[in-house]
Amino acid sequence: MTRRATRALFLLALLAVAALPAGGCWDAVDLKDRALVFGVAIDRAPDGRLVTTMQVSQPAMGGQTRPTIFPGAARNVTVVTPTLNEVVPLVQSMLSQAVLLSHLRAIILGEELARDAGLAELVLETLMRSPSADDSAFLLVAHGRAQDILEVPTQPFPALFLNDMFDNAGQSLPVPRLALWEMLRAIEMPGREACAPGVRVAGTTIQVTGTAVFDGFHMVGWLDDVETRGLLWMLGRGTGLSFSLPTPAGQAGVQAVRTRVMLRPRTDGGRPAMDVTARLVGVVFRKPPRMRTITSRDFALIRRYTELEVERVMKRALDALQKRLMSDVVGMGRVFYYRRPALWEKLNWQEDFPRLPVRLRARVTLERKGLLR
Amino acid sequence: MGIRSLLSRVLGRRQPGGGDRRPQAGGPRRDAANRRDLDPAPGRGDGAAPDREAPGKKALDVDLSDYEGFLRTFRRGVGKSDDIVVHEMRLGIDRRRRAALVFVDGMVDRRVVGDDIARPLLTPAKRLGLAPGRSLLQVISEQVLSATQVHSTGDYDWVVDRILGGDTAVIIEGQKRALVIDTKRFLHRGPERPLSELNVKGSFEGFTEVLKVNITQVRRRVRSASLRVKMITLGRKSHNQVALLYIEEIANPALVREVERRVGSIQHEAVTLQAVVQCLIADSPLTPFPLFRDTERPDFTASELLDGKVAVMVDNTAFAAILPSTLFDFVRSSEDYSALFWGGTLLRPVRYIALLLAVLLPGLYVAVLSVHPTFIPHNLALSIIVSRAGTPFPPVIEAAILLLAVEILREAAVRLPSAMGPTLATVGGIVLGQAAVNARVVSDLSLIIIALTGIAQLIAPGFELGFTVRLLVWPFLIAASIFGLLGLVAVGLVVVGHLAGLESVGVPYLGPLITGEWMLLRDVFIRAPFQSLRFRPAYLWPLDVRKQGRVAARRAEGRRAAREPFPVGIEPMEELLQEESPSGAAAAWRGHDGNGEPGGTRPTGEDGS
Repeated sequence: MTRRATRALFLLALLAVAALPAGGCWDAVDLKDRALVFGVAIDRAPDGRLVTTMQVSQPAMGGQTRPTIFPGAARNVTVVTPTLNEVVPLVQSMLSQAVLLSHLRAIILGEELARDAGLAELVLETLMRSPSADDSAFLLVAHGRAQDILEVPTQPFPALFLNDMFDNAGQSLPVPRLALWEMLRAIEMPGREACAPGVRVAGTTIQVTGTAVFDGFHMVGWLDDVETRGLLWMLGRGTGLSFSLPTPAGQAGVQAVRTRVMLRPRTDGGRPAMDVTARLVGVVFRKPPRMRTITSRDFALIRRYTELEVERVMKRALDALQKRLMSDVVGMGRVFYYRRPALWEKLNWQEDFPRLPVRLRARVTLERKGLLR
Repeated sequence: MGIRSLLSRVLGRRQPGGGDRRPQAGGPRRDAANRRDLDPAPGRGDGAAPDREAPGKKALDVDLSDYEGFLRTFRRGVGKSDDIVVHEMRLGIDRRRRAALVFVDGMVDRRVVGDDIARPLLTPAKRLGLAPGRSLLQVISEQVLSATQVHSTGDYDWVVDRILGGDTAVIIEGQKRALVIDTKRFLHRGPERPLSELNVKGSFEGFTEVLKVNITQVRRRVRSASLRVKMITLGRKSHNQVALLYIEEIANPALVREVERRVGSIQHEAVTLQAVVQCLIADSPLTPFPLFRDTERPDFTASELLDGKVAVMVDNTAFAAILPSTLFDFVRSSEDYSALFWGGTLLRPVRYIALLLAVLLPGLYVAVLSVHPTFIPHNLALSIIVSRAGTPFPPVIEAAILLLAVEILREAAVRLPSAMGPTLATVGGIVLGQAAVNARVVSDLSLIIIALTGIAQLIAPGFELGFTVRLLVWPFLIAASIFGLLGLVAVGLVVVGHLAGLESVGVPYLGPLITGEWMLLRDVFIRAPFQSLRFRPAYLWPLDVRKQGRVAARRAEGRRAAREPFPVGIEPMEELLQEESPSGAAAAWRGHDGNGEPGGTRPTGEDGS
């Protein structure tokens, strides 16, 4: 080997050694000696402290040769602490394996906690600042106690169940979804508040329903299912949602196949105003019962009634946001912030959003008409 | 008066070159047999036999004309071996003269020795020796022996060497030179399927242990006048033959010279392929990477020669060393070229991926599992936890145990008679693995990972690369267990740096990646269709870079031909028919055409009835 080659090899080796302090065996723990935290549910105790339930993996060995993950693979550890920072050491003191937060998939806040402005800020800030928690974890608000969600008996891993639901159903869920990083973004950037899906125990399973509307760190109230649908359309989501609508010939059923929304800011006598146009491509899956044969005119009729229905639902959602909750989760303020920065400077969005004149329009295209003939 | 004195009296008075007065086949010859004062210059042997004395070699340590003395010396030396036969007889053309046949039992064709040498020598034929101007050896080799390839020599060492090589020596009393007749015939393997490089399609012939057969196999595939075979005899004790094969029109002369120089510098007592290897890898003798490809396949050898490389073959070895080689040559298989190019294009990436897996997979597994658990998606993490629950060892120990077990199994399988292979596979692979998993000694995931690694390690068509891969997996594993992915990257950097500096006979080991010939990569990571493989690798500096001409013209021609329904043969035939009988046969032909038009006589697939 030439001297040059030796020197090159030596330099490479040096580079390798220099990179070593970045990680190594000193903090290595075998995966089987880890307790992976998949979900965490946080409630407010009556005395103002936090009741935190962590759902960790725990392979059950039993007496059998093959271990099994189901049932009893998940174990819930509940601790009561004044702040979130004390949770992990306390949970660790009850587990033989090392707690690993990086597989956290679902964070469920109890409704009471979410509405408590001080506590919610404490909890969310700790979560966002945690270096080990995965910021793609989903954030949900429980109708009632969050701990109950993680203790649904028929689901082996309720936290993973929720995660898989959001992963698999994607856009067609009837609720918006909120990852931890999106929450962070809503807080640090102006003009848009966060909205988290609601979750509740439905018999033996878990159901997502309704939307928890935030203002800053804390929750201000719920949107019901219909309002949530309107909100989804205003957000350009809600693909796959089906709904029935009244026509003169009876109830028709329409499913949204593609949705898009355009938020167009304008000024109305120096005051900000907003045009919201929802574009929706739908499929008529149920024709109105008193419509025998379907002609083009009939389709035009169904289309028009669909537009009216979409506009009506969006109006309901907008009214709830502007009048009842006074929180801009659609992100209309963000539109002004980006496209009319000079105007935005003059606005106080907290006060201006509830008074914002909004023109709601729906443009519907119906496809696959042949399905009805 | 003995025939010896008679002959010497008859011939001794002749002037040098006297025998040339009569026209003789074989050109001017000099009768040196009975004249000791003559200079035994090379190429001027006596008799019909070409002289085999090497210039500068000390001739006649043993005086061959001293028959008794020769036999005594011979029997005290080489002749002590029991397999060496010394058969004494009296010559048929001169009953007073003794002669000895010397050969090695088992290496000669007994039929040739008996029928073509011994019997003619014993047959009385008195008049033969009396022809004037001819030595006894000349007479014997030209008129008595019916064997071909007869040489005469006065060099005792050379005689012994030839005897040990399977030739038969005839020592005649009173003659200064001995006759050496090619009678080699020993049992050897015929060409069989190349076991280390099996294939499904293409040629099924592999090299054998006989050098001449191997050269023939290559020559059959490259019937070029410029295929050169350079034979070198090497080995102070073993006297092995080493052949250098190259194509003079293509291979760079500097490359050939360098290979020749390196091979010629071998100082070993016995030359084996391993010895040749040692001198050929003088670039960096300690590298774990094989610096040249050795192959068992004549077709692969031929195609590499046509790329401008040099093949080195050693007698008694069924492999040819091809050099220079790049790393990528070990991932090429001759089968890539005997099937559709899609096949090669699919398999090449598979091989590279498998090689990467074979080196990196255990390290990656250990690194991710013990140092970077956050990299694992949660679903996989769950199943890993389930799989590994209750196993006592950390992943690195598991991986090491299993890798060792795979090595042991493989080594045992190589030495095992083939009939016991299935037993080993069952007991070693299935029973042992299953039991180990059931007993929770190792986790089933580790078993899967290491089994995949073990299989991937076998995928390189160049067998030697497999050893490298099996070796390299360990540093990666150890680095990964200590430093995680950073350790993998660090070792990877060192390996890549080492590879980039390697040379095989002066050619960069990473070939086109180093020289920047990106065009050549179409025959590295994929196998492009033949028409686009137009150039030889320029990093070999071949004398002729272009492998085939431009294909565009040919392709256009082909398209034109394809538009014509019957491009070849039909029209001249029709003319022929019209010439013969304008009305009869051509009319019949048109009738077959179905429309009878004079212009449209070509039967096409569309309108033919």
